[in-house]
Amino acid sequence: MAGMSGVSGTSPAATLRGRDDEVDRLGAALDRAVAGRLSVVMIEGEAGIGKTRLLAHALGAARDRDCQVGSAKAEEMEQSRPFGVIAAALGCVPGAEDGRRARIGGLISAHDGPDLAGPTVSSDPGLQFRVVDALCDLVESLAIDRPLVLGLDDLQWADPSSLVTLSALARTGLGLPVALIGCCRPFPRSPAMLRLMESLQHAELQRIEVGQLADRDVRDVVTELVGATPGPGLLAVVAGAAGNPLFVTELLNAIRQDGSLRTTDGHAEVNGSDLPPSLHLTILGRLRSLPEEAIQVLRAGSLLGSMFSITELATILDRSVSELMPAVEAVIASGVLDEQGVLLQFRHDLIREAVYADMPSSLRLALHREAATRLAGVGSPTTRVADQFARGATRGDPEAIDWLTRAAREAESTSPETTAELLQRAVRLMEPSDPRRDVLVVERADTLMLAGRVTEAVASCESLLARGHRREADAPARLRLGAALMVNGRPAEALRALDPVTRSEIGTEEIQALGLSEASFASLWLGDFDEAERAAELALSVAGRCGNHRASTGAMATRSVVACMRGHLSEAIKLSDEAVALADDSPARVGHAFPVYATRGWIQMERDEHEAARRALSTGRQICEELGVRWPLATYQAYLAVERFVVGQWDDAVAELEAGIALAEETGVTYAVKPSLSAQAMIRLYRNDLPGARRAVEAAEAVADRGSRLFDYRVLLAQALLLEADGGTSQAYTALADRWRLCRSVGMAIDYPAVGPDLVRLARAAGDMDLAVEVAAAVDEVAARNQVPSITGAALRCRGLLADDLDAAVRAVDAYAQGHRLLEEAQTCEEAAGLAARRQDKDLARTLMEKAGGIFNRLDASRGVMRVDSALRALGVRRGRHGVRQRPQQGWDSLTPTEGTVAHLVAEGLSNPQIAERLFVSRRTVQTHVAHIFTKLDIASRAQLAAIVTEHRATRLAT
Amino acid sequence: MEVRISLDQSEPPIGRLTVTSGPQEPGRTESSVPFTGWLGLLRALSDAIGSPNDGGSGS
Repeated sequence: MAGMSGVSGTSPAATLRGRDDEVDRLGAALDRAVAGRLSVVMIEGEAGIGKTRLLAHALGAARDRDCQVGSAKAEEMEQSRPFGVIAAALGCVPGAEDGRRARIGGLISAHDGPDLAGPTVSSDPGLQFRVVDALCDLVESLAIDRPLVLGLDDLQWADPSSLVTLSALARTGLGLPVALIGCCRPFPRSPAMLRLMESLQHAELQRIEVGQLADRDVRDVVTELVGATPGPGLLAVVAGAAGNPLFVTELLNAIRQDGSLRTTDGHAEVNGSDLPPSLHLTILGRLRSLPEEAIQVLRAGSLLGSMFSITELATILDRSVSELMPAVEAVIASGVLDEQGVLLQFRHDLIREAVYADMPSSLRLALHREAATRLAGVGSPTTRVADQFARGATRGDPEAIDWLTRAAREAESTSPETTAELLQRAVRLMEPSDPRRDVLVVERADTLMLAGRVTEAVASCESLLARGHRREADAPARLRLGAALMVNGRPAEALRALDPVTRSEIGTEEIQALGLSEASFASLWLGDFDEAERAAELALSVAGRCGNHRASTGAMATRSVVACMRGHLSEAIKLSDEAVALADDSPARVGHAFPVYATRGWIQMERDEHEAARRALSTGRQICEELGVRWPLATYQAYLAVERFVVGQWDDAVAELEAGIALAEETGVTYAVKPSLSAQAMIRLYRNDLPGARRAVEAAEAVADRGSRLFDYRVLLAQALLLEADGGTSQAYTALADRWRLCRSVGMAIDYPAVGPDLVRLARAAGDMDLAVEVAAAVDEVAARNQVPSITGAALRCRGLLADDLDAAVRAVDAYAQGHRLLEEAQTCEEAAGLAARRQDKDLARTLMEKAGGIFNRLDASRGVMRVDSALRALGVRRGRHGVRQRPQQGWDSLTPTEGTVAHLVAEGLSNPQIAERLFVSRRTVQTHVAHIFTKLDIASRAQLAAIVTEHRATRLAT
Repeated sequence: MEVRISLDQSEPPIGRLTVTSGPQEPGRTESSVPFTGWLGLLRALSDAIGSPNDGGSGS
């Protein structure tokens, strides 16, 4: 890695001065990592201020602490090379000795060669996600052996995939002995860099802003470099360097080279009193004595970036390597370039920038074009050629646009992030009249969706449609906008965007089929089931004509959800089978771009087929990971979490819900987050965290405010129960009753059993018997056409509440138990106990109440436990054996069973991915568990956790 | 000696550097070289009048 010694080989590198505070902070960060806690540090400051020097110092200190160290420097000219800097830092190249590194290197370099027929977008668009996961796994497994420190210089030039990986490492590295130390200039900040900085805030990012050196430190640097005490004249000249150490060094070298430095009796002074020129000019002044050939080498090199090979240099200068050798040797001897293995590197980026900026722009453009043509001629990687063409391009340059587009498409399989950036560059080069411009914007929106950047996809399509655009781009843009708006939880807007597409006013038959499929899905989420059905049937017919598998799968899956929402679960599962078959049979499984297994899993959940639901959801998630279609992952994660809630595995549900909600927020895929938020609200309510429950309800309402109607009733139920908990029983009744009518008019029958019993109870308490009867009848109707235990349970429970029918209530308890609905079972036990008590059947009342207490205890639902406890006291039972079992908030005993399991697995040295595999949960869920464990045990490292687990085991053995 | 710098563009500079021998010197001569960039200009100046450490007069 380049040091800070300046362009001349004559000046020794000055000792690191004036950076005590920064060095201390870096030392503390390293100590934190060595102690097993993730440290993320960003060293920021202007060019030449000493960031690289500080980083080198930190890496040296890391080696002294016996850490594994990896480092690399991002290159301005290699921003299109996916995973460039991060793979280099971790040594992931195809030929690496370590098999893991070699495999990752192989994945990344699939497109680096000119003739390699690597995977294509259609065959393997999931590569980026696998590479990010593989890099995170590698870091984790390395760090479990020994603390790992990664130093990444010049991150302002890093490729977007490297930045995405860093963000993932910061998220997954919690509690690992890892330090990520980056350096970056304050400018330029790419959107990808801004996203990284934002995501790093969650990882307690430490920012070290490196400022100018104090006068006394500058004096010390000068004293060391000139070997004498500087006089006032010399200090005045050096003051012009504004405390920038590189500038100070360069000025001194320039003064020395010019022969203006006098040293007498241990004092150094400068002849004349010229004010210092700019840093660039100072650097250039010192190069003027190099031979003409050497200057050519430097200029050509500056076109290639701060690091380049002699072969590349020879190619773009159209010379042989041996012809270039004398000039290259002269440049190395002058100290301007360093040898880095087989590569040459500018001693400092500023030197390259000075040489580069000193070429008139017309010359630069021409040289870049020439370089591009020659690199293309020898079969250099597409991104390298494209980058040279782009830098040499003026607006409308067809070759540059072609190469950028080609590079974008090649990068799509490894990095949708890079593809989006390359397409953006191509679009910016295009004339507004270029017929391909709008098409590329639409293609970029697709890529953004693939990358899970839904809100950006929305913005990109909206801006295209708002400006003048080509007619042929209108339909594809509307289609993408509709799809993005839909998953962003804005179905009404999606429908508006799709309207002209679905009415076949614009676009091809295929686009119409896809538009109709999206529109049917949007109508479904708006609660307009008739329209959803109509659009889905039309979509199926048009898709059948033109053979569009994606559209037919989506439409069939939507039909299955419509049937489910209307409470026809047998028909729903049949249609869902057809949708899954369509997706499985579609070419390259393209049909799975619609989360068919999510709808299937949901329907199975409604049918109390919990194991099957979990299998379907896990399968769907795995397929999407394989296909690299990222947006449905949030839906799968959300539904898997809700499934845990439904079956009463609340501790696991808490972690899964949290992970799913975070993923939805991160990707902008918020359409399916309402069930998660309402489940979260219910758990919090029953665990007596009313403010937390309120926050979850408010978040769910915010999603509902954007027009999505499905699952509203579940949110409303949570809200009503919260109101009731606050003493507002009549408000709870009003809120639920108002919405009931709407729910009825829409025909969202599947929600009747979910909310019916509570509504019957509240309506009856409010004296609204008509409504209570109506609700009970509606639930009965749904139960009659579905042989599903929990729905039967709901109907019986309604009957019990409506007519004080103890027998029905007791049967409801059994039905819920059969459907594995723990919460409902406990609630019904309470209600039945109340009825038994009124009939003076105290034994039955006590038995039922104790059963409820037992379930609430298993759920750790302290609110339920307290309620049961109070009811038992009223029955004359003194604090039963199910009395409030308060799990402590802190310490080992506060861990849930799953957290205990995770803690033991961490202590055994398993990585998060390995634990995820062992427990059949997502990595994110394991991360959430680990975070919860750390908070409860007040620790911050896996090493600390291992020690606690060992201690705990020893204590248990001793007792 | 007279040094004339004529610029076609200022940043980075492109132009010509012309050196004319002084009127008292016998056989008045004029030489002109093109330059590109500050580096080119500095090199042309060094060639014409020498670097300070070459002992060039600079006038």
